[in-house]
Amino acid sequence: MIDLDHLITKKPGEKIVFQMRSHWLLFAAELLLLVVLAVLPIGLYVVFQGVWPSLLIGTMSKPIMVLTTSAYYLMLWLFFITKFIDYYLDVYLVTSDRVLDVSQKGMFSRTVSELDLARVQDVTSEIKGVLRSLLNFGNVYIQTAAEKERFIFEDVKRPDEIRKRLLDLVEEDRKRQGDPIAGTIH
Amino acid sequence: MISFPLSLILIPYGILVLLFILLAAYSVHNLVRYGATTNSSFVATFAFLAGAVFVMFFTWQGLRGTDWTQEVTFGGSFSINPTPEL
Repeated sequence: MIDLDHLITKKPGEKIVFQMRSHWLLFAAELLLLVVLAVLPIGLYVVFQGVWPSLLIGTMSKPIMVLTTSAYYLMLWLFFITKFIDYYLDVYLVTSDRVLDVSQKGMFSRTVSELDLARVQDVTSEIKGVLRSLLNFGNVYIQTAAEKERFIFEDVKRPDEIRKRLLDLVEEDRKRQGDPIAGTIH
Repeated sequence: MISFPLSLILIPYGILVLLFILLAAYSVHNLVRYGATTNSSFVATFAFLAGAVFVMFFTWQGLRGTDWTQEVTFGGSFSINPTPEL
């Protein structure tokens, strides 16, 4: 589970109820690109062997080729870890008191947005498309009373279940705070 | 005609490796700080470090026996594979 203490100051008694991130399939699609890019130098090697074989065994050209290939794979490997961090640290957290959207963009950019459960007015789940319907993942939209902009959990697993659990938590939070409109949210 | 020792090409490569090490360290730090307690985070970190070691090992293997004192010459014609003198 993601370490909440490094992201926000927890309120007394606040605990993570559940956390989610986008479906792994989206990360797998990016991994596929990585695999294609990793195979590319092997294809070039085969081509050079046929067209210009001396380039691969020359006393000077060989070290240049080795260093170029090594640099390429090191950069590719950085691309992999950046994509993993982007996927893995891009997380949605629901605590007993609020909803958090930790948005990781590359290595150096992170945005943390939070929304108090008591301000949630409406929660909508949406599953669009064949793949999403088959694998049961989609978006969950959280509408607040004050803001036009909605909180969105993008491409999360089981969005319908998340909507129900979220609404239950909102109800519990309102009851705990003695809100007169508790029980009216749908 | 421009010529320089082959070892000179190690400088940009060294800079790139240094950059890689810095960014790799920062990435691993990020993962450890925010999400090290899960298996997938551990596996990704391990795969990343193992892959980097693997690339460096094969680079070292490929460069063994290289004569770094050779001159790379750019002139009327670019030469990286001089014909050996008989």
